[in-house]
Amino acid sequence: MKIKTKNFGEIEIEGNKVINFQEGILGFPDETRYAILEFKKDDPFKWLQAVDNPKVVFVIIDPCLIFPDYKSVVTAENIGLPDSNIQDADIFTIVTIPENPVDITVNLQGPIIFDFKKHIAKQFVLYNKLYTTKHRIFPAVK
Amino acid sequence: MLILTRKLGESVNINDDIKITIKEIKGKQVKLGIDAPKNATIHREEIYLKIQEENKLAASRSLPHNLRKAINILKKAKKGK
Repeated sequence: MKIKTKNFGEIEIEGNKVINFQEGILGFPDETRYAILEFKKDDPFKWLQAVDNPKVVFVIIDPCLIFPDYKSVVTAENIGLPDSNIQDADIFTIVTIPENPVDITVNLQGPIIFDFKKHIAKQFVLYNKLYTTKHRIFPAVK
Repeated sequence: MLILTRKLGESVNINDDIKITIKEIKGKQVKLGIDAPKNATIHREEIYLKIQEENKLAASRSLPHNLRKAINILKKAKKGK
């Protein structure tokens, strides 16, 4: 299927690559279908593009590449799903790139958990005092 | 807004499946117990709003040239190690 993107014009994606966010992403309740766009296999950053609205796109990253301990904190209990098993789930987090890209941050308080087999995903709120919406990727700035 | 007065241990029911109970009152803090269906989404408001705000900012800044700059800095940081 063809989708319109914010940054890359109209592109073709496989229909089975569409991921359903039943509740949308916080702040974007109207967009429920997204696709992950990746242009280079080894690029840690990927694009999460809303399928039905080209204007809505996020840069996402596997947070464990930068914060190796993070996955152990994203437990079912900490995201309000005490009865679920999310051990093997795929987690991505949204990246914010400010005016000065050195100050790039990752939102570790709002992880997105994907089930690629079922083509579904949801942004959760992580209740853990260690993590906030803005974690710097580059810790020291000169 | 509907405003109800409740005592410690009393509850409020919303529809047939949501029940909010006053569990503890300590000075200016109130502990609530919430029974709701599994698919109900319940958040502390200030954290919920913070994530909404961050998402909106992230979406407004999601441009390839911004990302490219960040990647270049990342590469330089790696080389420096």
